[in-house]
Amino acid sequence: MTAITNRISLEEASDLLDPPARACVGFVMNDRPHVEPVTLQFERGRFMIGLDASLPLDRCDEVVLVVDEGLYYFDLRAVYVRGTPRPVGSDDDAGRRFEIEATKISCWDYGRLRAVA
Amino acid sequence: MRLSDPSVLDILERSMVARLASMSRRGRPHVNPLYFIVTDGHIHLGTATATLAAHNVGANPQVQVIFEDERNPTDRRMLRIDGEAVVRTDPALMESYRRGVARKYVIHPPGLWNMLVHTHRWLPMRRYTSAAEACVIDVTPVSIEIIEDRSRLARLR
Repeated sequence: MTAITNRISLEEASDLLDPPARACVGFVMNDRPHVEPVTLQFERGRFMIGLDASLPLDRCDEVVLVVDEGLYYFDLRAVYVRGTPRPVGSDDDAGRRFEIEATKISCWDYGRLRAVA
Repeated sequence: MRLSDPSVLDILERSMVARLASMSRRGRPHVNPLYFIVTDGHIHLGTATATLAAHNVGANPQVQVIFEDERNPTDRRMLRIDGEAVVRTDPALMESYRRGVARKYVIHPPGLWNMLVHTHRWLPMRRYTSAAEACVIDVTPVSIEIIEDRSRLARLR
């Protein structure tokens, strides 16, 4: 019995992260879901994001970072990171930086749909 | 601001992939990139009933969705919609969604080319999409905002 999967490893998706095509972070604020575009630097396995300084990400226990690419079906690829945000450095005029300490990473690529045992 | 405002429709017509934020019954965040179409004042996003996004919407209808023109990086606008969502599987809506998605993502030169160069993936695609029950996350906008300039984020690089 085989199943069909689009899952790939982080290594196979690593070109998505340098430089990232589109990155956003999801979090819960005031009991509502939010999603914000972020900048991302993937440095030696660390997910470093930058976002608007007004967003209270330091008060979030958990966030989800999604990097995705592609417009048409077989070009769609993504890296999904669930984790804990830790402030990095100090704020500047442009915003704040956080490292996402990953607790779960999933990657997919619809151009790699295939049967697996 | 309304979904029918020309400036809102302009971004929605250019955008190809929506980023949907939802939260679980226990308050855990989730984000999905999803295909979407706009129908009669609603945003319809396609997924499967077994996905975390669909489960979350079933538990908590509040969602936020952002849109941008992915094909034009110089366009710094972003559209943000807060809304109430429901998961729908009714056949008429699913058929309407499938037709809308075909028009938007397949029945034109880039979409057809993408299909043609991946003919060897058609069978896995058919098995993949038929393995789960498809659904539409139907978002009724509650508030709509256009962020005119996201360029300040570029300074964080």
